[in-house]
Amino acid sequence: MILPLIRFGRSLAPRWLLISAGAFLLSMFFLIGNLYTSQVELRQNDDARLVSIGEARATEISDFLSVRRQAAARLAASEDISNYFSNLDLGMSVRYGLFANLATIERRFQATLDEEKYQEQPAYLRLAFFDSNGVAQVEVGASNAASPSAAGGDLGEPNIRIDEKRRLIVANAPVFLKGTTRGTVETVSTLNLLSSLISTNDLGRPHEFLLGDDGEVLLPSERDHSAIVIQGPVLAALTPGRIQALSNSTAPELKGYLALRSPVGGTRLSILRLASEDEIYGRTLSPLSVFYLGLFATVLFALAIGFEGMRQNAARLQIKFVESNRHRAQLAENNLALSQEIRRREAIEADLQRQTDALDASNSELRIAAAAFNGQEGMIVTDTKGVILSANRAFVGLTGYTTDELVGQTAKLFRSHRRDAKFYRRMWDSVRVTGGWQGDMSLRTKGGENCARWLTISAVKDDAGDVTNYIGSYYDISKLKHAEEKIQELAFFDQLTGLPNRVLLFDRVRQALNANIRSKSYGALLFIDLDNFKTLNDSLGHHVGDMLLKAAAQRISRCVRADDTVARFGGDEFVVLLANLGTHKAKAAALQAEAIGEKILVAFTQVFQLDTYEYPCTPSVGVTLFSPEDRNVDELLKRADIAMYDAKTAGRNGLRFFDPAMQTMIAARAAIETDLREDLKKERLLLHYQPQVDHEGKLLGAEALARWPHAEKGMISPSEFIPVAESTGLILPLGALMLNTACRQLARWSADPATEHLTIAINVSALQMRQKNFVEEVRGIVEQTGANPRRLKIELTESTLVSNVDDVIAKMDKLKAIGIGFSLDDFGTGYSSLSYLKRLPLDQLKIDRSFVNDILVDPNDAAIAQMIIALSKSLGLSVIAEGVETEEQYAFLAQLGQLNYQGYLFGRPLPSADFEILARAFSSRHRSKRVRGSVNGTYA
Amino acid sequence: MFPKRFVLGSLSGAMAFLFVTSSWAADLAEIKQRGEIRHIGIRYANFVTGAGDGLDVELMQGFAKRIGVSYKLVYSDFYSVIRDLLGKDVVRQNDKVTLAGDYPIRGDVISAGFTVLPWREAILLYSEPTLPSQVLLVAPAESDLQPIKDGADLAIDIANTRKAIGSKSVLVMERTCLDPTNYGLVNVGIDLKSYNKSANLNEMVPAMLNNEAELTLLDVPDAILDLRKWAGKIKVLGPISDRQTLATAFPKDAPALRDEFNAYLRDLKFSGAYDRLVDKYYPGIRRFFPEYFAKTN
Repeated sequence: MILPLIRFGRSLAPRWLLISAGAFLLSMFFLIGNLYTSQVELRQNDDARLVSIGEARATEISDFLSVRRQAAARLAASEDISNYFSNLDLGMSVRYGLFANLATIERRFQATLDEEKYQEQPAYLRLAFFDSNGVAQVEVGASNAASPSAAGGDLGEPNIRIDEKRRLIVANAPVFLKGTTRGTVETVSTLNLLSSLISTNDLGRPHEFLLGDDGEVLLPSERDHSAIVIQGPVLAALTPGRIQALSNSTAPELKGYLALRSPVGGTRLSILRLASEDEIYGRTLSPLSVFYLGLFATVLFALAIGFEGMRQNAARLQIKFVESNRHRAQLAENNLALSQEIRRREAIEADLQRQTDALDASNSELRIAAAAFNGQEGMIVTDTKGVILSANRAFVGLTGYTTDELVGQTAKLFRSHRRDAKFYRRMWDSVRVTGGWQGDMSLRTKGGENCARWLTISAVKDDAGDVTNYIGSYYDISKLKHAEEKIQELAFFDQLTGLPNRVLLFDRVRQALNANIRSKSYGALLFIDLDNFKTLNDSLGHHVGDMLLKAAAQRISRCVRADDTVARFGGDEFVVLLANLGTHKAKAAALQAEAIGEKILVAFTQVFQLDTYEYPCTPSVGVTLFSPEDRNVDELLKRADIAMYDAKTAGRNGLRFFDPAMQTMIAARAAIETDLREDLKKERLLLHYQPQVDHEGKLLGAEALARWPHAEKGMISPSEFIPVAESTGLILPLGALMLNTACRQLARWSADPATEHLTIAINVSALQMRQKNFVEEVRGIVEQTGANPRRLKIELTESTLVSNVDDVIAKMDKLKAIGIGFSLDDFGTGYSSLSYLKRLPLDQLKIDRSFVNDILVDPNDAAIAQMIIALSKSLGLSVIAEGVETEEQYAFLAQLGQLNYQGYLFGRPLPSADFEILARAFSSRHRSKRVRGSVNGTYA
Repeated sequence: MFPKRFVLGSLSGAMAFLFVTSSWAADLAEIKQRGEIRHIGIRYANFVTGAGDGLDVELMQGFAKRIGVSYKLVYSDFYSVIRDLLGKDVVRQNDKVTLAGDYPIRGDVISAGFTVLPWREAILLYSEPTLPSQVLLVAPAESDLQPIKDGADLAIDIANTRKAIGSKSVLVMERTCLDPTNYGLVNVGIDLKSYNKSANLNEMVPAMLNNEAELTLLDVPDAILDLRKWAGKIKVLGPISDRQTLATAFPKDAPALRDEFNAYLRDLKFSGAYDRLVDKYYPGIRRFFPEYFAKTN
């Protein structure tokens, strides 16, 4: 058994060279085969990349044109143009009216022309506004850029066209008003703006050209490209999205170039990219070169066989020669054979060296391909049925599946269910037709999570053009998505409350106005302002203020319908948009809007729990309706704002509808507020003193009343400025100034025997009383001025006691402890409650002037006055009647009991100097004779 | 019984101090010596907005800078403005204008879109024109009156506009550029309603919309602002007056101040700065008076 094997081995030994060459040939075939496959794949990847860049460039141009279209539409929808047509419809002439609108439009156009830039260049050459007859009413910019086919036709929607001859981009947008087209806005830009989007081959990149529909070369304009100009129509007809060789071109300059045409979406333009093979694929081995390499190895093998045959022939000749010349030529023959053998071996060795070098180069290319496949982005390779053949490490890491789990499966394994079957059918249709697809895709990982990726599918084709594989690349766009969402949130939503902000509100109001034109129904805007929010912010800080805003936003949101919008307009202002009230009758719409407004008011009746504070907060709501005829968003908001201020003026916590008359009134109030603030700083407000007397006519003191001598308007009535002071918070500095002035007056009076006994009653508002440090402030003023606190009487109104009675009582007790007295002003007009009256440390009740006025004619008023006097007796309080103006009123009140009095009958409010003269006159008469008649005799 | 009037009549003494603080209007030399120019302004359209700016406010601020003094804005109204400049009240009887009484002088110059009128020229020195103007007739949008058609002749336009008034009531403001006596509207059978709730011309349109009258007079500067502010709510029917001129006014005894201001105004117009100011505050007025601005250019 062994011997035959040994013999077979020995028989092969002489053929070792042939066997080695055969083995070498086989290994070469294997390596060259792999090299060929790699080269084909690399070229397909380069093709896909070129197509992708071409499409991206076309998208950039399409986006640019879309922006121009939108800009024209924005100008067409401007309020200024709307105002122009409103006034035109009213019959106004250009000379006496419309000139103002046209000037405003011209100003807006000029500002747009000056300010809007694209890559540091002016975005427009010219802007124009045409009426429905096509007559230009406003034109700004270069007149030589005027469009020869000036718009005037009936445009349905914004459009854009390219004036190829004049190299202009012309965008037209219709002006709609009340559902009809009234005119057109036209913007004109130079085509050269697109130059920056078209790359040249200066940096080794391919040539790019922008072609018109008929193949005219629009860009670049200044380069020498006569061959492209000539071949333009042919190039414009190339199949889009496919790389094609220009081997059949009649222009010799283009031979050897590859061309790709990418259409610009929504236009008749195309991007044409030209490049040589070297520029696209680099200087790598072509598949043909690899084929020649294989052929060379085969030739080498044939040569080896030839050499072997020659060697055997030489051996046979040598044996014959040995037989004939055994002694003479044997050595020479052997030497010759040996030298031949050496040369042959050297030749083979050199050849082997060349092949080894080629193999090394081939391996290097394979390593590059492998590195590309194992890059940062997930990639899979499938067969034509979508069955996964391989997946790279990035894809395995992305999905959580192992390579073994992925191979043999289809993409259904990791599809999310956010897309329907129709979407996937369209996607594969695109892949089959165009050889590729790209788009936004959501993947489901093995753990069940969804992640956003940008998927690019590229088909791999063989030499015959048949698809052999698909390559799927998943680019990570999650950060981009997140950034987009964040930008969206920041741009349109308020960060504190999460509600839509002013920008989004304006957009929605515009949408609602447009929608209501179609539905012909009413909508409404509710302007909500939180009452006294500034006071809360100042006293408890912005942190608590923010908590209130968030809670208020939630309450308002719960009161509206799902389709309505609640927006934070700024500060403590909210706006509710009731987009469609579903009726074309104003009255029915108003009732609906009022119902929602009332619901909001009710929602605020519960106190807000803000951290450790319980805070009662009320809103003031202004409502305006808008009909299909209303187009001006600013005007609507202004109306709602005015109505809200009316609600504030009416005492807050209420709802008012818009009334144009409010405009004038509010302007006057604003002027009063400004001047009052200024005069308070300069302490220009004064106190006048109105005498208070007892039942015998003895002067007891005075009520101090605020007076405002305005530098320009003269004396302003308290009924005008006190409500303004209360609504703006100026009542706090005003109250402090008045209290200080009154205490200084008391201190001065204490030095004069004629006035030392007199008291001063001073009014304190509810807002002052609610101040935390009110007691300390009063004590401080009394100590600082040296006033006798027992001569100071604070008059409170019943409204002071409406909320937090316990707090008011505690403060009154503290002030009472240092001797300050209290009088309840306007008693009987408001919330009089016997339960709290008993608990208040009062000294006096005041019968309001409204009862005294009609006490002689209205039995009810007389009965109320009587009841107040009886009540004060039972509580041990004194009573003062104010507003006593006639002898008859005095006589009637005198018969009810021993009262104190105040009113014009006893003296008008006087400046301090005049009051002191009066007090001295009283004092001297009282020393001489304590009867009322003597006073009468002196001053009548 | 108690006397009713025993405390009255003691305020007269308090009034006296109001006259103590008055000072006198002055010519250029005295103003430079004083170091301050007092500009009497009226809150009126965009001439003096009331917010510290306005066409005339910027104009006078520039003038103060030119003569090297500080600037002070003193607010007044159309009823008191001449009294605040001259210290005398204006009494008009028919065509006669006389000055009466003694009042504090509060400023050196009136600049507030102040119309040049013959009776005013009798008592004031006017600068060169600062702006043209015209008085228009305005109606609410829903009024049954239609705006007149543009005519080639302004006199015909005015006649057509006046004819349209008929029996409608017209809101006017006396002693201002909207005074009906300036345009022959008195005693010709027109129902005139005098607006006297304030001396602010900006309130004319809101008052008309508040049904205080069926029509109102309105000057071009106000019309430019109100056509935007009340777009769709009002309509301009046509002109009531000829072209008018607005200018800055000085006391008769301040000719040097007036001459210096005229030189300043000419420089400003020549440099183009004046046109920019006009565009800033009245963006449409150059379209309304193209012939005036063609001249200034």
